[in-house]
Amino acid sequence: MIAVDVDNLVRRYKKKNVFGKLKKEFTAVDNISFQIEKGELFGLLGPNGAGKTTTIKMLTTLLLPSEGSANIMGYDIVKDSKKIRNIINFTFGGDRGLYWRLTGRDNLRYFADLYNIPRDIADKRINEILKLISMDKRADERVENYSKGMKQRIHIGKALINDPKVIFLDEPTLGLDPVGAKDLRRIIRKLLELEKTVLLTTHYMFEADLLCKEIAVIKNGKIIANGKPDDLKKLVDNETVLEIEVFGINQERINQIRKLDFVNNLMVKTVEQSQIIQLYLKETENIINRIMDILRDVEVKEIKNRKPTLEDAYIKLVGGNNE
Amino acid sequence: MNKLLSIAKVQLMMRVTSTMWIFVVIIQPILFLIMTLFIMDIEIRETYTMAAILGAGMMGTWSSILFSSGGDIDRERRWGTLEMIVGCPTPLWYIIGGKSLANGFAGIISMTLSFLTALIFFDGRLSITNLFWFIIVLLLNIISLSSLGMIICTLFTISRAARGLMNLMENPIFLLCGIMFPITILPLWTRPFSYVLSLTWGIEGLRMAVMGIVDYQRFLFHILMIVLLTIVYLLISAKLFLIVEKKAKKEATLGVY
Repeated sequence: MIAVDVDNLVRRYKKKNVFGKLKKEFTAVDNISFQIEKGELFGLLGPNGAGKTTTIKMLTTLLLPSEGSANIMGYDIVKDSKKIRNIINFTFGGDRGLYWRLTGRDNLRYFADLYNIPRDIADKRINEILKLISMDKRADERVENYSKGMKQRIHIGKALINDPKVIFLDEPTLGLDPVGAKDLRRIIRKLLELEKTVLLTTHYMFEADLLCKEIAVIKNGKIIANGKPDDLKKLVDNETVLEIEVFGINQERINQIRKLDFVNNLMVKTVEQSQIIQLYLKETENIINRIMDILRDVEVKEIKNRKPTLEDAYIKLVGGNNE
Repeated sequence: MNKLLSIAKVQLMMRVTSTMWIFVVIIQPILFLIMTLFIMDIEIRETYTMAAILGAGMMGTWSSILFSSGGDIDRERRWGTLEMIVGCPTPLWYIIGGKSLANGFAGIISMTLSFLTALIFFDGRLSITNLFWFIIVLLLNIISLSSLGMIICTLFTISRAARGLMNLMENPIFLLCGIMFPITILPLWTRPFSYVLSLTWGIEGLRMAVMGIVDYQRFLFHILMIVLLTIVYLLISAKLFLIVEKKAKKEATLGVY
């Protein structure tokens, strides 16, 4: 059964000047279509500003689409928004969106009331949710004393308060430390055991690889690829990734490497004092000398060869060249 | 009812952190009361202490509604909770209405504190002749001002420029509604403005209930006016809420602050 059916959805934003005249119009979501099966965890991946959050906001009835249509469990997101609100829930990344003077439990209780859940059912469910998100011991402390990870867990708790059929999670691990993010991924996996349909947006590829059954990559509002994580990895099957860790390389040298005929793509990551140059190569023979020739005055810490990952496929798709 | 109480509880818990709210609900009404009682002759004070307490109490109610309801949607937007509450099955007008009622009932704090101030520091007649009607009119006043608060909330949400008028709207309402002195001493052209404000009828109704209702027909007419104006306020606010929600969903301003 199809839980989420998106058909040629478009969202345009209009900027007007002080006199109300149209100044600028841009398309944040451009004719996207996808379907999510019931009980599936679907990942919507893309760089910042790609249109992920706009898509989620339309599907959660918070934003009207400019064109196209979408159904959640058979209900239209425009005509049946009231019915949809009863069967879905959502979270947005970041630590806003909670009442910081209230305790975690009171926040959940407040949203339970707003979702019309009778008190006796709500109290029982809140206790279950707090256990699921490992917040049962800190539930009666004020949100203002929580860490980012704890706030994010309460957000997930809020997203479960009405026992929704479909949950939208917009970058839930954004800004979390590795331990907090890992813990949250554990909770997200548990949602599948509860037979929830989940739409997750993220730009952490390993997270999508770990959690999602199906993935769509969105760039400039358009879906540029979709399929299972393994299918997307096949896009870079015949490539090799070379990672070179260096200190103090300048842009000129990076451009020289980029221009080498065997380099398909290049990414530079800065890690503390050093930079990691990721080279996506068409061929691997006799290349090291040519690269080292360019890096002759640069301190090279490490060179390693590795197999392409989903992140590499993603980089190839979105065409990134820097972090 | 649980839902309404829950909304009111969250509203009050979040508002008590605002020093502005504390000033308008607690300090300002007491200052107003002390000032008014000092201005009055001792002989007049004997009779009109309760009237001054009513003025101080309703001043706290109006200020709480103006400064709280006026910014309620905007505050939720700033906290990042507006999208969360709009995405709930409970309609936004109901949530803001609950918040507005909480803001209105905060006026009871102003009235109680004013009463205690007068009791401790001033002599005077501190009794209510007709307690039943006093409670009815007080509740009607709070509900009516809360519905006016819903209009203010939507207007200030639709137009950010209108928010600048918030400070300017406090004292003129005190004058126009006769909180400070009877509206009969104001110029005649101000009268229509006074009459469309339910507080004008409400404050007079409260005074009648405190001093003793001499003319019941006149008193009931005041109650009728409060009820009618409240219905008008609610109809206007319902229309404005539809506009606000549609505009926000169209222009994507729910999460923008």
